[in-house]
Amino acid sequence: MGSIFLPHLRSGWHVDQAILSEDDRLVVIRFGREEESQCMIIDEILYSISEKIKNFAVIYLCNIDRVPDFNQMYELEMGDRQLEPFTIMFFHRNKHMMCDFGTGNNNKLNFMIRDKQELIDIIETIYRGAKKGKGLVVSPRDYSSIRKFRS
Amino acid sequence: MERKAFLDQEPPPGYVAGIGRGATGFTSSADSTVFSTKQDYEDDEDDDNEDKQDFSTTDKSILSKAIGKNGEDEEADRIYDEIEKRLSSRKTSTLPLIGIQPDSQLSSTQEKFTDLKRSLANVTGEEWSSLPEAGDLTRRNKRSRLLEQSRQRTYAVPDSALIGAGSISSLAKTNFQSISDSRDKLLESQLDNLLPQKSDVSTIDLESLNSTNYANVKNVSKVRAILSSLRKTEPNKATSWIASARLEEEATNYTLAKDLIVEGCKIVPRDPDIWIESIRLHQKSSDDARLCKIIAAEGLQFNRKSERLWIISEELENIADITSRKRVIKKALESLPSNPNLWKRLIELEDNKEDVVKLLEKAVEFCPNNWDFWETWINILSYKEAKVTLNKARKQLSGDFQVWLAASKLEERENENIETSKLIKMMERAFKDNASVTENSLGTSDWLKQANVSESEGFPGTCNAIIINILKTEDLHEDNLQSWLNEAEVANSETHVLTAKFIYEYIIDKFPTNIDVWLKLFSSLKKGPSSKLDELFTYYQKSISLNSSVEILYLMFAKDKWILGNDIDGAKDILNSAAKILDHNENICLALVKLESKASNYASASKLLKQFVTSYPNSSARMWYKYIHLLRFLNYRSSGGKTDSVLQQVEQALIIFPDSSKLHLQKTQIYLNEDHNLSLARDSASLGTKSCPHCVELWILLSSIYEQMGVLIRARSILDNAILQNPDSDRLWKAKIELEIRNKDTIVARQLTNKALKAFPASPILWIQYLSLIPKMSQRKTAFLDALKSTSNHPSILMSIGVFFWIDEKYSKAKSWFERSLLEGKNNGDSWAWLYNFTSKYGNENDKRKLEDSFLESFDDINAGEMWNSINKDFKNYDKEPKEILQLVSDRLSKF
Repeated sequence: MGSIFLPHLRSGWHVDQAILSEDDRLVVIRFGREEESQCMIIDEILYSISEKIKNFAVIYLCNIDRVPDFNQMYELEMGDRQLEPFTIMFFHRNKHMMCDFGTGNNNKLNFMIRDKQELIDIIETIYRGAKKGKGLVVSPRDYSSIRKFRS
Repeated sequence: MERKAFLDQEPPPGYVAGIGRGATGFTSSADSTVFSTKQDYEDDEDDDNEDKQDFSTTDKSILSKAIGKNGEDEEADRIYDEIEKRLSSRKTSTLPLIGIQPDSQLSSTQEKFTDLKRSLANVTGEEWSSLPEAGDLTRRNKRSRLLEQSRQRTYAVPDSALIGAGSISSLAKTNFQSISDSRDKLLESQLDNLLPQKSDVSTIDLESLNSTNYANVKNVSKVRAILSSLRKTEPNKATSWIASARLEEEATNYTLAKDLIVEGCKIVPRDPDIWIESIRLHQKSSDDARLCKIIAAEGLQFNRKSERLWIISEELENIADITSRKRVIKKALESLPSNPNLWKRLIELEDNKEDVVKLLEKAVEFCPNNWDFWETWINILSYKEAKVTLNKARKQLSGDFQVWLAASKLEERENENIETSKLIKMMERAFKDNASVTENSLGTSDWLKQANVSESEGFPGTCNAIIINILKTEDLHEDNLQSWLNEAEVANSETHVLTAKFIYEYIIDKFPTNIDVWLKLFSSLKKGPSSKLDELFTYYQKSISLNSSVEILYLMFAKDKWILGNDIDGAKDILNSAAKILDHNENICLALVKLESKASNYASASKLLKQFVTSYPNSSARMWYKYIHLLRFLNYRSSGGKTDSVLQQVEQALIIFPDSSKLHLQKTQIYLNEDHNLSLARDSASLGTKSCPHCVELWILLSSIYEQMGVLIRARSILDNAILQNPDSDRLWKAKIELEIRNKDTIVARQLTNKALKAFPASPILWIQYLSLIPKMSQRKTAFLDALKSTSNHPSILMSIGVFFWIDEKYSKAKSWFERSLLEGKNNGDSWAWLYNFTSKYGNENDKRKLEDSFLESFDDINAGEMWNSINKDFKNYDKEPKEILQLVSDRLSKF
């Protein structure tokens, strides 16, 4: 359901425009394949919180098969190897926001979060850090115990 | 949830993702293969390709060996090959996708490197050493900072070291410039030696080297080598020997020089130059005269026709020993009989007149075309013989004007009272002869020069004759009259007074009624020696008899008679006779009056004026004015204080000339000064302003009368009214400003000055007001510049600057400014007075006297200066001498 209602970015240009178009809000982009189950779940959660966070964040979806432009740049896919089920990335005023989840990769969120409030908290933390001009924030919870996605 | 507009737009074609926002990627973990930027990505791919290639080649070989190829494999290989070919032809950026690099490229790069590797064998040791060092980058900033510090650090050098260095430098002072110069010369001459056909050039170079650059050629040895080679290649050229000898001489190696020149004499005996050089060298090295004589004799054996060598050998003889000198010259004449120089020397040496005559005869025989001999011969001979000789000369030198010139001079010398016509005839012949000779014929300017020469030689008759002939041939008429007048002026300025006089005379002969020419003649005569006053007066009489109706001639005559001739009675006579001829002429009457008053005959002067005024009352207001002026003076002298008669005269004059501002002025002044009747003066002045609204003086006078009466407002309004009527008078403005200054209202005065200066930016009197209103000297200085610029160095501004300097107690500056002002214009009486004031205060007696003398010289021209005019024109000072007036003016100025 969520992948239908949330706005899709059809090309690299649309991705760039989406990142550039916001002045005050955090831009959350989900890279991934909607047909995969993990991705479907996160889409559902994202859709469900999108109305709640609309004042400080906006959520876009991007299919990495249709838009492969950022696969190299953001390490979304390594050749035929699927690294992660989905990748959520945060941008604020064209700045890539990093978040220390304790997983070792601060660049993106690539693990499943089933609690909606938890996700809202993460997004809000990143938003507050971004407003203070920080490039890296520490997530409210430590996710180092979460299994790393490896192929 | 709103939907952004870009989501429905199409991306631009060829858009590269991420570039639009300058996105950069990241490397997250070590185990994931490194991806950062596109560039990195390609490099990585290359590495991968190589691995794959290696693998594929080995794989291939293994396959080919072990299994062999079936048809399917071959077809697949072929397809792959085609694909590879196609890909290799495409851009390299696409290659990584395929992951295979063609063999050819790899091998070619290898070949490249093998070439370079081989060429390494050819690199020499020098090239290796000259390879630039890879700089040491470690702690570079710190090291550079240390270096900088060490550079800024200085150390005191002990005095001993300095002294040592100084002495060394003074000892071994090398002139690098000269060394390089001489090296260039050396190279040049060497190059020239390589080209034998250009030997002339080389000798010229050598000559220049020898003559000019001896002092510069420091390394003698090198030049010596060149010259020796030159001597070997061209032994028959005298210049090379002379050059070598000179070089040795310059190096103060006299023995060697002499040896060289003697050798040269042996090898090139036919060249007189080398002999002369030899004699010179021997003379210089203080050898006795005998040796030189022997060398000269030897040289003369080979060069009998060399005039210079003969003359040198003559000079070698003892100067007192005339006989031997004569002997040498006679010998020389044996071989060179027609050389005028030798003849001249011989004649100069001869004392006995008869012998001289004989020698001249001979000389004329051998050098018939040399006029000098003829001339001296004729000058020596008696009159009759000279005539005969002149005839001979004329036959010999046909067409030489100088014969005729000499003849005319001869005639003039022999009989002083010869008629000019005879001389003129002779000069005519001379002109004809000159005209017949096409080459070297004299132009007019040359003839004028001849005239000047004959004037300075003391033959005025010949000079006259020449000039008359010139003007005759030139066909004088109105058009070229001016050029001839200029010619005469030039002659006059070159102190050829007679030439100028003759030119004027001729022109006057032709145009007896041209007054300009007469005036010029008089001025040129006045410039000449003072003893010619009689001549001047006769010319005056002549001019007056020719032009009896020109008054200026009378006036000038009378003036010159009076001043130069000191003959007042004569001048009076002249003027009286002029007055008879030129009936009721004002100027002559005035001149008479002036003469009378200068002789202190005021009564007769006033009588004269009265007579004139009564007989011709309508002639002009000026006469009336002069008359009244004189009357006022007489009245003042008699101190009667009765002004009625004068006033009567003024009234009479005003009836005839109601518009004469001067008469009005006179009347007002009489009321004001003699009668001290302010109201009457005011009435008269206001009447005057009504009848002469453009007379500025009247307006100013009227305003000052009101001021004296104490009605300031009226005075001011009168000035305003006057300015309205005479908008282009700066004096009215000045009067207005001065009124305010007297009224102690400096601010208004300053405002008025600024206003006035705007209207009259080039008016010196306004500028002076402006300068005097500036309170500080330092501010004034800049204003000086402006004033000078806008009035273009007006003398009165210069003078006022001097005054300001004086006030500022800068005496030398003040004096120089006064002098400058006088230089700029001698007619400013105030400047004279200021300078007089200054010198009488600070200068010595001598300066004062000098100043007075120069003042008297230019007294007649002085007509400017406010104070000067007011005092000079005052009727009370009618009988004052110029010096007294100067004294009065300077006294008045110093008060102010």
